[in-house]
Amino acid sequence: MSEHRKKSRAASRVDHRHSTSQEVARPHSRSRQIIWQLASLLAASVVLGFAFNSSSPVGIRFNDATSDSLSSSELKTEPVPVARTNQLAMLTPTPPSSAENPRVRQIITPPPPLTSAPTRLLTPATPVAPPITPPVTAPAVAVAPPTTGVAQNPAVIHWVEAKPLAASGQAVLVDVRHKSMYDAGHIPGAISLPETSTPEEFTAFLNQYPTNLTLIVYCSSTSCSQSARVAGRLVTQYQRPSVKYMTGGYMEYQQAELANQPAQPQP
Amino acid sequence: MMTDPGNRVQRLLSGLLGVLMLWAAISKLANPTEFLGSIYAYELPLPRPLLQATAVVLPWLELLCGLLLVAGLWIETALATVTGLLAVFVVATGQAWLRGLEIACGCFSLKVFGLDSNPELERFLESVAFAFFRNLLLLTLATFLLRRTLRHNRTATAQATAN
Repeated sequence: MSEHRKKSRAASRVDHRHSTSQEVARPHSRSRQIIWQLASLLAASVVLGFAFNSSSPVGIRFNDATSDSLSSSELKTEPVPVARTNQLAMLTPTPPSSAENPRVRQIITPPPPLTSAPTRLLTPATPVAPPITPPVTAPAVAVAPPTTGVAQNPAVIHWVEAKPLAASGQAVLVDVRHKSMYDAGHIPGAISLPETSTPEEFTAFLNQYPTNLTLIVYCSSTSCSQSARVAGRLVTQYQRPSVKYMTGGYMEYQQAELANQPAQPQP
Repeated sequence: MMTDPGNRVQRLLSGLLGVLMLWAAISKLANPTEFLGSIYAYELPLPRPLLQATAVVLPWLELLCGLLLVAGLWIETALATVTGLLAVFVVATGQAWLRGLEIACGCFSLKVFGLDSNPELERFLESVAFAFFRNLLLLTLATFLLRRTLRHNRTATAQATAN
């Protein structure tokens, strides 16, 4: 009885590991089985990987130079002149500007009736027209000004709020991730200033912008803490009066702008 | 099924490794471009299409291996794959560390544990040096489990053939 139990236990142990007892008995076929399993795993990963990335709006695109060049080519990368604000104005939803990347325009353009939720989250009623300079109507003056020093500094901001600020040139987006991550994809209009930059690089970067310009710092996603650290540094070490950091980072932007692009819920 | 406590521990450790692989895979799949960027950051002397293909396939390989380890299926194959992957990670992070590349991947957040108030510790845990040691530890674990599994299976096979 006990012998029988021992035998069946040994058999079950073997069965647990191997599909058939015949294969168990032959190590050669066993290694062949492992190779077959490895090949299956790899094949499944390749199929799933390519299917996922081609269907996902945030997926990696082969031959899609745009996802890489979207960054470097037309916007920033190169040293930014003092008249940087003009370049930022390029992001505004204003009429026809000359040489603009259509994709960037498509992504960043108008903040108009995005969804009902974002508009509510934005500061008061932001008009569709760009609020760069004080508009004609009186109440609009109080609408968009960058946060004053009284407000929490650095403060948390979300993309729905950051977008109009960046688009109207009232804020500049600062990407603090590693440069290669920035090159792989970033928010259009953002400037790369990796956390690992030297103090001289920080100073040189900040000297290009007026002191009261709002800096919106971001990194990868909620799982990264670089943006919070750099934002704190910009306030304490470099005395910037208006610094915000996007806790959701680049992922928040992607989710808001790319993933939701096809279907916009109606009120 | 596995009455031997040693086997039970082994099973538990395999499951744990599987969960870690799943966690790593999901965080990569959540933002593929970000992952591609972090691969570029290692400045490996490899052609870009190969790196892109790696960024496409690797998270799924991790995911499948994690699932297999958690489910207790194809253990040998899954462990062999994970060991191979971890060996590659060790080489990649090791060379980056030696070259002094400052890659703060931002993939290990302490916010969850409420420890983000310590920026120095946080920066260390995000550093490439920490990633290297973490991978080395995991590689040791995976190698140990793989060797044990192979040995166990060899004895089981011998037993079965004897019977």
